[in-house]
Amino acid sequence: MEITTMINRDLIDLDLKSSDQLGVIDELASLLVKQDRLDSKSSFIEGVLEREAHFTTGFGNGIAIPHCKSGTVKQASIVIGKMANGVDWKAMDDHDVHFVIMLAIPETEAGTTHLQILSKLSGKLIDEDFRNRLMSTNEKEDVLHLLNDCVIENNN
Amino acid sequence: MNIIAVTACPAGVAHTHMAAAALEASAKKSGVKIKVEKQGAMGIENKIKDKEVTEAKALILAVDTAIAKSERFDGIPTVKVSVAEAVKNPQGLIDQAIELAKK
Repeated sequence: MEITTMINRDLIDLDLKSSDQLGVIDELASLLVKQDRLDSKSSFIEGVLEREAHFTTGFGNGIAIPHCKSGTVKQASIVIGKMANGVDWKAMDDHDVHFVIMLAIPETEAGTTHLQILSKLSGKLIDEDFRNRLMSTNEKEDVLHLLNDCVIENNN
Repeated sequence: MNIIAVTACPAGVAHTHMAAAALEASAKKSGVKIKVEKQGAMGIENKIKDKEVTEAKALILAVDTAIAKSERFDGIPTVKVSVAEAVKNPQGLIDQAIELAKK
């Protein structure tokens, strides 16, 4: 599987400045816009917030995985942000979020390899060792390597 | 002891797969055999076979949407929760399923 079409150095920001959830989502969505991966930033953000309102994607341990499946997404993408200061995400464990993996999924993606990659990544986040390595690095290259390794790992 | 589980969420990408991974990890810790079917954006993955339904002592449904083919599971003791609960407290659900299976 090929992850390089979904994420690259410029879709990673390990020094986000925002101090609230909307700000973080907005900053990350801007990275997607820069690469022309969205038709409409505002409707993408709306979709992400709708998902959060349904139930938080802050599943605990300081990580959140906001995501949106929408027609406004042109290309399946992963965008990653890290914040030195924790952000309230109404997380399941009530802890602030320091690391965000946002998934942008086109409406028409059903059944493709991109979905498999996103699914695999989601499942992998349960692995504490993987999480720790992902959250502790300050190098974009490390993030890309970790994601790549997790995608090429065999299904259990 | 064999447990089966189904996970499903509206987008069918993130939570469905996180919940499945969490349940599998907890079951392994508890030394029980689990088969987790994921009903997500890619359709049904890791489908529970008829034989596995027959052998199952308990069922965990971690679902936020109506699931396909639920009639398969009629008569199996069931723990039903939201998909988020399975991400948050997988061990608790496995424990509950083990209790149900003992009855």
